[in-house]
Amino acid sequence: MSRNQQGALLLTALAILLPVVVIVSIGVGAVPIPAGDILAILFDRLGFSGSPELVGSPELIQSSISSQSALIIESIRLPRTLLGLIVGGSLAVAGASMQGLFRNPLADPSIIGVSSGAALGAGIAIVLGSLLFAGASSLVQSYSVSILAFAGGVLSTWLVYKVGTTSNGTSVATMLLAGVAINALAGAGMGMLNYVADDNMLRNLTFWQMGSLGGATWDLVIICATLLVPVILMLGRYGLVLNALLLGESEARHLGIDVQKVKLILIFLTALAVGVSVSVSGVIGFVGLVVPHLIRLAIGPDHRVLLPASAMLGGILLLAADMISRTIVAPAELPIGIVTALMGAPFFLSLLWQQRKRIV
Amino acid sequence: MKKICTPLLLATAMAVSAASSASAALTNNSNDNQRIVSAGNGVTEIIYALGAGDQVIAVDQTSTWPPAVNQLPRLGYHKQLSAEGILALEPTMLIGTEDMGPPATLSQLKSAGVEVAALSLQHTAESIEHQIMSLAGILGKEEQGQALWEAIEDSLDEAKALAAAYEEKHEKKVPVLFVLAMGGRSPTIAGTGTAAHAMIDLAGGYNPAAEQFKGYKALSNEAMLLLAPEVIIFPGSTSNPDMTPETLLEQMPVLQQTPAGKNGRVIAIDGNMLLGGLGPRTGDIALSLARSFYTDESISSANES
Repeated sequence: MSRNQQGALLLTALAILLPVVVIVSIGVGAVPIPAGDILAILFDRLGFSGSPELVGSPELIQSSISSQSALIIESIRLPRTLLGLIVGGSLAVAGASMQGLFRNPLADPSIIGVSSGAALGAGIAIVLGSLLFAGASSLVQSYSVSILAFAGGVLSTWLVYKVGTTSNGTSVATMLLAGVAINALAGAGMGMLNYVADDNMLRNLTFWQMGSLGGATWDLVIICATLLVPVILMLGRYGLVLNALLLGESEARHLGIDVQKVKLILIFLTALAVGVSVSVSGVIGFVGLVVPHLIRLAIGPDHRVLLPASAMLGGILLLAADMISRTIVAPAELPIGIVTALMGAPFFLSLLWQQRKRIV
Repeated sequence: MKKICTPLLLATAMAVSAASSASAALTNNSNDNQRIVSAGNGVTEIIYALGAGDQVIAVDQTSTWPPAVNQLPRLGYHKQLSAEGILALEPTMLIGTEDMGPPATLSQLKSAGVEVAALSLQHTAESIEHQIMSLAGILGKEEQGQALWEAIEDSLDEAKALAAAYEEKHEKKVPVLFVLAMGGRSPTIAGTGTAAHAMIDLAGGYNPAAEQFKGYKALSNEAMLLLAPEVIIFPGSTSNPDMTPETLLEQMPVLQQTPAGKNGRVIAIDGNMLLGGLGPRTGDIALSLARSFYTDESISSANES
């Protein structure tokens, strides 16, 4: 089978698997709800979408589905599943773009400082939020962590980009080093915040850094979907360009690609994708690093397949991790960052083990 | 007996039907058949002290007293509550402090018909009184609440009287530090705004660290000696049985140089009691602490010096 056929096969398989995982994710939870009820609720909503007064409508009661089940599906599992899908897809496709741009399999979105900057922003909001947002409206206050996390992520990315850019263009190597430095600086800032924080803030900080999709509401899903779905689609179109970049920057330039512009756009889109994801779900590690690797091990480094396949597998993987996170210690919840690392790392290691000879 | 049983059965039937239809749960005023999820150590203790412990179906991670709660399902950390996890327990009520969250979970629970009560939480005696009275109101146990608070108040008054007698004689209070031992590093001390500080205060002691900082801070050895505590309290006893006064002094040699270390006045208290705020045992603990702060020996030894 040729590489192209393999890629097409993989994309088809993922496209089939994705809706299956979505359905399973809606079906799995601490409250047991029969599959028939779930389908009935979903079809009911699809048929009469957008009219909230349907909650507890006569039809539902007639079909003996309790309004509680409907509520759990509608306002807990559905937004959570969609958020996981979008966030997982964004993180993975951003990771694939960064690995392509830096031509380095170790690269993940944290390499341009976006994760640590976002963490620092969130830390500032958690620890100093009561001072900073004292006069702000309650809406701003309740989203202060997300807002500052996003701002921190974008700001540190901009800084890394600025340091790496001269009149001759952007040096990827300098950016890499600047990213390391910014990560260290943000780490120091987090240390300071840890030092001044009280017990409650410390626990909030710790939990935030382990990530969770538990805060999913329809508002968040809508914000994320409007920002991230276009980003995923746009990043997905850079397959050919990233393939050309794999040859080297000057070779890509000879192929007629405006390398500087591509760098700027990719970094901007990645910062947006990761900044928004982190700001709604906290730090969820490993997805951005591992998912593109898994795809590459399966079908090779063709970015035309790698990017869309990463987006789909990222969503699938995060949904699977979230299912574990919200059921394994029910009625409590295990932070999803722990699950992704605990699941992803050994799996990744075993793949590396099998592939050792091929890589060398 | 039959007379009691009939309304109970009726109420049970009502509660069951209420649980199945979420919107009806709000109007369910039957106080004895709640299914309560408690998210807060102090709150759990008060519910049990009011005699409503049999209605509690799950507690958060910090609730460890009374021992009966250790049989119940755990909700995890009270700021990371899981809406669906809680709904699966079919509760009628979630009671916790204003610290609990996240807000999305609370609003989802409310819209599922679970009554959510968030009590204010401060480290003061007034806050305990307020919590007891509001919980007694919610659970329909006003009399028990009154009696419980009066017992606590009596103990606190007695502690206050002990401290006042000493202060009159010596024109100062006993300086007391709360020390957290963190794996052999420098001692971590409780400043203002902590439950430990409130406990020292209620027991009639004086926390010399309170003037310097808020919350918990690790102190250098020199700063520790400057504070010169005459009594040191630390989390031990049931919450941490391996930690005895001897092991604490061994782990942190600097404590041996303080007046408290020299005179062997190092006291273990139940650390879990301080984690989720003050509670119904606060009166007893404050009184027993006050007694050990202001023993006859300490008064006479202070006379000699």
